[in-house]
Amino acid sequence: MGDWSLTWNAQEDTAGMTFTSSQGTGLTASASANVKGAWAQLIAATPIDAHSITVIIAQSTGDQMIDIAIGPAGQEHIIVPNLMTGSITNQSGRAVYYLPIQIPKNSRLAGRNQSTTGGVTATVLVMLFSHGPGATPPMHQLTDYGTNTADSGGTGIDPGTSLNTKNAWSQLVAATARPIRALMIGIGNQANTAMTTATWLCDVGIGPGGQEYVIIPDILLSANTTGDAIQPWTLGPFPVSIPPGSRIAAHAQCSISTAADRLFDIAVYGVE
Amino acid sequence: MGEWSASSGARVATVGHNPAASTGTVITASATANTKGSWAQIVAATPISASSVIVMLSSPSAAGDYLVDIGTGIANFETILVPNILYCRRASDACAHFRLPVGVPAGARLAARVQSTSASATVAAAIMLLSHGFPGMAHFGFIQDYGTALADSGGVSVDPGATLNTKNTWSQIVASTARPARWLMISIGNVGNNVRTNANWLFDVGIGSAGQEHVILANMGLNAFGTPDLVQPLVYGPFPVAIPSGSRIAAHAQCDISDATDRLFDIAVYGVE
Repeated sequence: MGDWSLTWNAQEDTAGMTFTSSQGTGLTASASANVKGAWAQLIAATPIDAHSITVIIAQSTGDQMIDIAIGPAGQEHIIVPNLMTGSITNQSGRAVYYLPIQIPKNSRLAGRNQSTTGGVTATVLVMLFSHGPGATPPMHQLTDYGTNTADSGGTGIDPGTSLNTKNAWSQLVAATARPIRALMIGIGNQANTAMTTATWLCDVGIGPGGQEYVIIPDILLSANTTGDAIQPWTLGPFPVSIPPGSRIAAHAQCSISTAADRLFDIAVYGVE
Repeated sequence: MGEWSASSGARVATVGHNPAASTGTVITASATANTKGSWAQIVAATPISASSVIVMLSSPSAAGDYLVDIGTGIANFETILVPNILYCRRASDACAHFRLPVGVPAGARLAARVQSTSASATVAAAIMLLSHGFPGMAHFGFIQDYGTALADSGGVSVDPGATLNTKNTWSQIVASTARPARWLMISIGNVGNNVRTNANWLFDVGIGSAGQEHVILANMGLNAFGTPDLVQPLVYGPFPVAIPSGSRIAAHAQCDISDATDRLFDIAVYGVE
């Protein structure tokens, strides 16, 4: 590896802008709740070879879940499945997913959306990063674990009624399908639009039930009663080394015990 | 580079968290506004050698702008590792994670201090230490902040102008960078505005002399809602860049509102060498 700069000749370009409203491209969910809507093109041809991308999602209603795909219209192939964005009805902000996956130049990018509220829209931007010839080896396959398309959310985490004490683990996946070298985490709100001010410490672990080994410890999260959203919405990517067939689980502790407001959703995105 | 995995042997450890309250270490600003408070220890000795850190900030106690320093070294002899992380709270707050690819050796003492527009305000801080293992990443050693304003605990103001949805003139963040930057993290501030209007922005970061700016990070999105009165996201990046020392860095933006106060936001950038 030496000390060759990983960033010399780095380039960036962004796809999906709607300059007339200073936003991204609108992705409208199906009129049916929790059903993916139609694909919308983000860009006809990406201008650079990307070694990583950043997906920026803005929305203001319900829980929503975004797919990003490449390929011609009608033949979209999903490269980023089910990016979770929690309910942010009363809180500004955007979910920002940093994803170390490769997209070749001249690819058509498209996105689609589903939501707990039918027919709502999220706007999406995709930043494309070329790290130059000294870059890290690109990663290719992204797999989501713990997402729940039935409610456009993730796996529910309950810190329990004992304040500031880690509760039982919740399983995100029994056996990972592929090896994982980088792990991105999405945090969701369980469509709760009336939260209480609180803080959480969350662990992500691997291993069989009862023998979980913490690989990402004590992630700090918070919610405010005015904003009614648990944040950050995204975490990572974290460097990990998870073999295929691994069980991934999460648990948390919380500063409040209110039955609904102590809960949150989690999903993870493994990159091979 | 070959196909050595950059994540083999990777480890993550968190320091400064307070399990008794499910939060971080409380750090308190000076009783004088916009003046750094005392250092508070995050950890006496880091448990692993880290190739990068994630500074997790939450629960600011009062509406205002904050600048947080992370330091290393023994008590009273702290050396600043991460200077002036711009962080904000208004009607609502948001936990934010600031990721910085800077090396921290095992056994290092970490501490934090903060200043705020609100005297004696507090913020909670914890730090994740990421060891990328063998072969890992080359360690980056130095973080330089640009555009931070100690006098108001903020950043450089960016004005999208009165013409809707049109990029306005550039605002200079720094005339000449002190060191090369290989990664750039961006923090967003609220310009001391406690009453926001719903708005969306697209902003660019560029380098180059005035009138000849070259966009290096294009069309990042921001928004604000009237309920939390906060421009978000609070942080973008870090992004891979190749900025030589002596470079001018600037930012400009467009916005879908033209209200003279509410269209403004602050920006600061952090170059990692």
